[in-house]
Amino acid sequence: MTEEFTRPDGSTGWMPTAPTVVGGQPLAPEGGIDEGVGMDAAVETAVESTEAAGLDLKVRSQWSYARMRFFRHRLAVAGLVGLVIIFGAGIFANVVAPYSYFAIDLQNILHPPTTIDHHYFGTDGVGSDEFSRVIFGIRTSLEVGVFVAVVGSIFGLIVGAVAGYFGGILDNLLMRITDLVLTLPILAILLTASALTHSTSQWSISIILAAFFWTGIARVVRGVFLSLREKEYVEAAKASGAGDARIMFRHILPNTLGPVIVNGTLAVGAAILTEAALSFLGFGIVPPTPSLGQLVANGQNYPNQWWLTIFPGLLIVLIVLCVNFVGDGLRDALDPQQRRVRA
Amino acid sequence: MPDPVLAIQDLVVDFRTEDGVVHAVDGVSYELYPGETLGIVGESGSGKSVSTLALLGLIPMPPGRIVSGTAMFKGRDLLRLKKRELRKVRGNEVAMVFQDPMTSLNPVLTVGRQLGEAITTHFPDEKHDVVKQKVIDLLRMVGVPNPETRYTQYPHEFSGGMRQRAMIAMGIANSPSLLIADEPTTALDVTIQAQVLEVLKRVQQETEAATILITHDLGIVAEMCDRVLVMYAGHIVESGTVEDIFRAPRHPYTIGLMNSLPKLTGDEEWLEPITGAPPSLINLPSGCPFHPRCFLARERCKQEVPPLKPVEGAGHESACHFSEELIGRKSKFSEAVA
Repeated sequence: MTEEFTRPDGSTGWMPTAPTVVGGQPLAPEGGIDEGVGMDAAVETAVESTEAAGLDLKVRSQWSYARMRFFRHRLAVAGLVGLVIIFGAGIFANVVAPYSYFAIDLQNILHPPTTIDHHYFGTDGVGSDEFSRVIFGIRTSLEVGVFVAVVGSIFGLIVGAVAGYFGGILDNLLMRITDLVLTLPILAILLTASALTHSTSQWSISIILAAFFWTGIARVVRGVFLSLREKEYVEAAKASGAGDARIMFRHILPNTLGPVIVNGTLAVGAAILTEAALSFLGFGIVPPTPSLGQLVANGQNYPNQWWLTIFPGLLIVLIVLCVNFVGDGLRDALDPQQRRVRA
Repeated sequence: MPDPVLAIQDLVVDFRTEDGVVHAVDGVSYELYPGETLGIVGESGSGKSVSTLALLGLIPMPPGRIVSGTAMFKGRDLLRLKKRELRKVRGNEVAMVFQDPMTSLNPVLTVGRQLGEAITTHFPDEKHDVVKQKVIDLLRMVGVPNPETRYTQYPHEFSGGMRQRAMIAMGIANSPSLLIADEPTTALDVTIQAQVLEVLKRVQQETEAATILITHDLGIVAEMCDRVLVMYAGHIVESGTVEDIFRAPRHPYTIGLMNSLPKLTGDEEWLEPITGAPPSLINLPSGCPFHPRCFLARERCKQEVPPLKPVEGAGHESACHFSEELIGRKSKFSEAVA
């Protein structure tokens, strides 16, 4: 069945004889099968090009993976869209709100929701447009939430990094302080503080809240630092001459950003909720500056005018829900252990 | 002979553990000359790594403690430098390549950034573009293909061999005069090992850095090194040129190490292990630490610690009371070396 043949280049090989000729016609011309050299070259270029193509495809940072995972998380995206709309309205309250939040219209008090004159959420006891007040209330809540989350995160990050990296007495001291702050009843302290200071401006409330919101992040960051400072790459960084600060902030800190972002996001929701609770109790932000909690409290005085409590209350729920969805999505997206992309 | 780059005298390193004091390195002295590759071999726990980590102050203290010794490097004693000064030496004049490339790179930073860090740590005023170009050149030098693309990639996008190349690039980033490679190929498979060693060899020739290669692979030593130190239980038991050590080992432990290796030429049904187990460093045997496992051991070995003393061959030293009895004895690899 096979026959030794000589290739044009002089080498010999075995080729099948019988099947080459079908119906008297050779399937391949003489020597046509022998394309050894050409084939090799083709294979080589193919390998090179796929290598290059493979490399091109691979250029994808940790963040782009995270982005991909986040955007495949449906609830998180829904939460993000919700937040963009709600916070967008709050940020551009001047443009979005049809009325000023302190405009009084005594002809139109306690008007139920209607599209006439843009009183979508009705009017309150002095005829102010509830929709406008809610929109401005969102702005207040947003400012408080973001301020508390950012300031608390940065402070917590520093405390956690120092405690985790240096360990020992310093760690012990900082963590006991953290424990102490965690055990304090926030609400009671806040009530006392705001009663004592009398200055219940938005910013003083924010600062007091931030003073309580760093503990969670400090603990998380400390844990990450504790485990990472023993890693070989930290030793390698040491061996290449990096000092403590450089190792802490350049080498280890990027590893903590995932949990910090997640915690920070969730802190926004928690801070908004706490601020609402404070304002509801009348110790938070004072009128005429509206805040969502304070609007709910105000609505309590009008048991028959449901719109005055339902709408601001609903927005608190919506905001916190959206924030938590986003936080949840970020948690999954930023988890470096998770290579898998959600389908 | 030129002045040595590094001269270590009588280095003693202890670790305090709950069970007692471990003498990890006990009176080690050696010198390293410019451009030379020195191999340090020995079993796990023989003090190979600790003796070099001590130079850079990378031993965790406590529990570690440098009890005594000097390590003169360019006229300074590394063991007595202040933390700040030592940091200037690390990664700049003395660099280190670690064992496991999988964990020695930070997973959240791009390889380019990490290599750049190694440079900016010592030259903070260097412009970003200059650093980037230098890093790309370094990656090319250690044989990483497509260095421009690789620069922006993360460690998880590198294979093991590529990561170790990147680590070598990091080591030589600032043209150190001393490069310490601590088991640089242990975590890699054999074919990649060969490639990485090739890179290490080439890099060493180009940078002319004196190199300390810590390994337990005698094959690597034969391939790479000019001189060898054999360590056992924190002591140097034999030192000499590669040729001398492989052709005519003069310490029973070295002979045992050689005999335990398979030979590629010729049939070997059984390998010949060194009998017994490495001693506990907390409770070292009296006298010569190797005597319980030694085929030459006598009464004297139990009482006297043998000093390193010259045997035949240039700079060939052995710490054995009865090394003369080994004269004329050929190692299993004598033909291979010759």
